[in-house]
Amino acid sequence: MTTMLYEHHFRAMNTGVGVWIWSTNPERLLMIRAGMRGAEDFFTSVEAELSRFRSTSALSRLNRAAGRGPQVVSPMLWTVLRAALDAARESGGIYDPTVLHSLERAGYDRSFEAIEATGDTETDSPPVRIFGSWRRIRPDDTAHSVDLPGDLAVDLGGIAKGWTVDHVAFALAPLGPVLVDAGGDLRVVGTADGERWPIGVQDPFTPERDRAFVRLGRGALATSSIGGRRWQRGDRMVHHMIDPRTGTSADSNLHSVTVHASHAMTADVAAKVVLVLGSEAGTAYLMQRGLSALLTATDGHEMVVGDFPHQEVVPHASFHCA
Amino acid sequence: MTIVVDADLTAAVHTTIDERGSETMRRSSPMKTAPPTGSAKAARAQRPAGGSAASGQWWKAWVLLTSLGATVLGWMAFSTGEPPVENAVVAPDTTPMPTQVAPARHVNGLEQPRPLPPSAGMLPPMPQKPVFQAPVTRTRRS
Repeated sequence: MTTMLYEHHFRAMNTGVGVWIWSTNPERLLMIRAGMRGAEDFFTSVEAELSRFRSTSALSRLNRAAGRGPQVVSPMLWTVLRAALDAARESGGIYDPTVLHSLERAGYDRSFEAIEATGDTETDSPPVRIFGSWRRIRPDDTAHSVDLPGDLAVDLGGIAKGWTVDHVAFALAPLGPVLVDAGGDLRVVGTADGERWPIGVQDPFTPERDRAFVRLGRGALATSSIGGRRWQRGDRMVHHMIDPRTGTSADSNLHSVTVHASHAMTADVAAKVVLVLGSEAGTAYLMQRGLSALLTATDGHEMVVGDFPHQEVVPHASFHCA
Repeated sequence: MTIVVDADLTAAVHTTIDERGSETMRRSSPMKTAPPTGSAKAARAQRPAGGSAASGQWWKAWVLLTSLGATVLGWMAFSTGEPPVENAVVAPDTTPMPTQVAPARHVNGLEQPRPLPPSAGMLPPMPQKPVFQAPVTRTRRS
């Protein structure tokens, strides 16, 4: 019997997306092909609906309507925004979807590709402390409307990407074991002939190489790092991981966090929260939720929390059990 | 090995962008027309935040994906009686198969499948030869 690994790659949400389906049945080719095209269309639709960089998106319209009372929102925006508010509550406010103004004040007011192309536009606006601001968003479960205060704006970037990855993986799973990867937020459903999917773990300090790899039979991985999206702001370097408690770029002892969780959305949120909290509080956060992770400190020290499924380590890396 | 995977991914992405880019632009062109006039602005102000064409696109894509899943499940249950792949009884294959992953080919923006080594024996808990010779993808900082 011939086994096949089908793959499809495209670009969405300002990142590369890959979909892999493993199948023993070549008669499924047409269905797999249709499924992959459906996956790409779904990513495109989510981006059109939830991107803060699209002025026509439902999210941008909601942000523009801030302070104008309850706004009926689309089912997708409602679903993801509710998930974001749940994540904010569950994380004690360390994850907060209302970071958009803080991000923009830090200079992340365009897609990162645009920032890299044109450089930063320095402003002297002070940081915005938003800790707990998510509580001021008032969703109406009956009308599916959202009352967004005038001084708040919502960003759903990471959580929307994880949500999309989870949905596409779930939808494609009947076709065979599937792996969906959107810029490092990835989800696996099923194993290929009993073999788990091998996934390289990027070295946070030398991104062109991997420091380890995991074999993932189920669940999801997501990585947050201060090393990727960072830029010069006056005399200092800033990055896109905002600490809601200060309104500025997080300043913990962690450089990179890769979390293994059941869902990509959960892993994405947890990686952000741990990166903001730092290794000590972040480890406690992970252990309380039964999540595992690979943490890299700013000094290069590495820690494994829980049962992180890494299987091989390249020689230059060192691991310590937390 | 990882570098090879990364290079493959990058190449595939670029190819797909070129091939799909025009389609995406055609579909989205109505949204890139001139700014609305005053009357259009008034109409838009009364429109709920989510009442957009994008919302309809989302439902179309979602209905496509879910109906596809239902179709496949039904097909597997009633047509061949074949169980899902994860639980499939894999017949022995006496034909030697390549152990290296062949380079993928593009057809209409979608890559052709890669031949992979077959499993050996019945219901193998783990194949004698690994299915994957290298990481399929890699984590990336975001």
